Amino acid sequence: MNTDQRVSALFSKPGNQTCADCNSRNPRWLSIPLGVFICIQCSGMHRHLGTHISFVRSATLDKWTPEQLHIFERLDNNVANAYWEKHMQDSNLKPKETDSPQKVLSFLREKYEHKKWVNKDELNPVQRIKRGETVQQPKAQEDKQPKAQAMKPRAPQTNSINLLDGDFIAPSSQPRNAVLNDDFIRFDLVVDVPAIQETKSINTWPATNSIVFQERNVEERNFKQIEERNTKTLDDRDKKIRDVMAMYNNNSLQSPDMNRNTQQQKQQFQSLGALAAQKFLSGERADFGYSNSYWPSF
Amino acid sequence: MGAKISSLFSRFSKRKNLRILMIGLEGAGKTTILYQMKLHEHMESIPTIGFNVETFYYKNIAITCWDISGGERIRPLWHHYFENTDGVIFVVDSNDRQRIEEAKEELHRASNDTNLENVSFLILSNKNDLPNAMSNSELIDKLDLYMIRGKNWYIQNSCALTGEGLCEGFNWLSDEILSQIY
Repeated sequence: MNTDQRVSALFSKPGNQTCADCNSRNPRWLSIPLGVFICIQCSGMHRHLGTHISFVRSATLDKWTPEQLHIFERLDNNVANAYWEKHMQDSNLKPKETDSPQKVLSFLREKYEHKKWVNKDELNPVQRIKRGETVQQPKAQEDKQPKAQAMKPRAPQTNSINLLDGDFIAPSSQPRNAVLNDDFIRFDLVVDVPAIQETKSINTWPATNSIVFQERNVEERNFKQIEERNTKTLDDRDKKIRDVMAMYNNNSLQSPDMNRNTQQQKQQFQSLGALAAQKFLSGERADFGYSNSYWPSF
Repeated sequence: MGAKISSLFSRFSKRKNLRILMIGLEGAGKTTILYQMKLHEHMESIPTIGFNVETFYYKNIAITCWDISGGERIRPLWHHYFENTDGVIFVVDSNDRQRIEEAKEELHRASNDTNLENVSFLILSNKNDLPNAMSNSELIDKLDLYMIRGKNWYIQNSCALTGEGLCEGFNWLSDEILSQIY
């Protein structure tokens, strides 16, 4: 495997899908001494800390040294955050993408400079790897899970989130705005397509009294499933519409002296127009960028 | 005497345009300096990919300042910006002792470029407010500034967050460039 392949393998690690500090997606910058993948906004803030605390590099624009690759292949954000945020009780302290830079910076100072939530006896994972120790994925916090369940009343059925697989972080009553904003268009589609069980977990605005458990991994997985289902259902629907339109076109009157090519084009145009009209009437967004199968190929 | 008066007159009467290039390793504070000079306030910046360019007026001189990304893969492209440059600002993170050697190499590579002959170099030792910052004499030593031949250079402490030292640096640079032209 060459370096590029090894680097792209790092990106696809489940822990590295979100920024270690603000949970925005696809972080492409890293802090070498801290061992975390971060987004470009946070990387600007990391630079403020000074190079003696956090030294920021781009995963795609800078060259990787073999040592850096060695370290980051044994790490991901879950492992690193299990160290940096070990004693953090309230996950609401974490900044969101939309927060002001000052808020992010003060969070970073507490997390990395003052090491507020760190177990002071431990070495940080980067140092441990440098010493030749192995770092392990954090456990799924099984010991915390039943406690939380026992203490808090379960959320009503409609608002439930699958707590069984994957780890979850501390409960919060915060609406999941970050996620919803991020995938607003897809969210739109999810609402549009009925009878998908998983939509409930995404669809859930926090119920008034209930506690909504935020859970990163499950959220991520749910999104993938929904995406798949979306494309599937949409494809099915497209097929149906196309079948119907094909019938319509076959039955329609065609002048006999039209040659085949123009006939085909005409058909395609008709189906295109009809589809657009149908989409418009059904109140859907006229989003032709979705698939180029709508366009006739000349 | 007449020549002097006329040069003084021209100096204050019309605006001049200077093209200044700002280079340095990534994270040294180039973008922060640029916006500190332009807006006189601290702006939160993110890593530059490519370049930023801003024109601001300093003492009746229009300074077009090019802030080029210091990324490792972008540094080989710096020399494309060297042509028609009146002055160069090389920004060093005075707190970063590990990469001072890297900064030295880049500085000497730039100063030896044929397009930058007779161009003055201002070296800004940025982040000088931090307690562990290197002193000027230490920087001169580590950057081998005495090895820079055939051009004027000046080293200035600065702190881009507060704007301290930037005016002094630009003062020297603009005076130096204008004294060469007029």
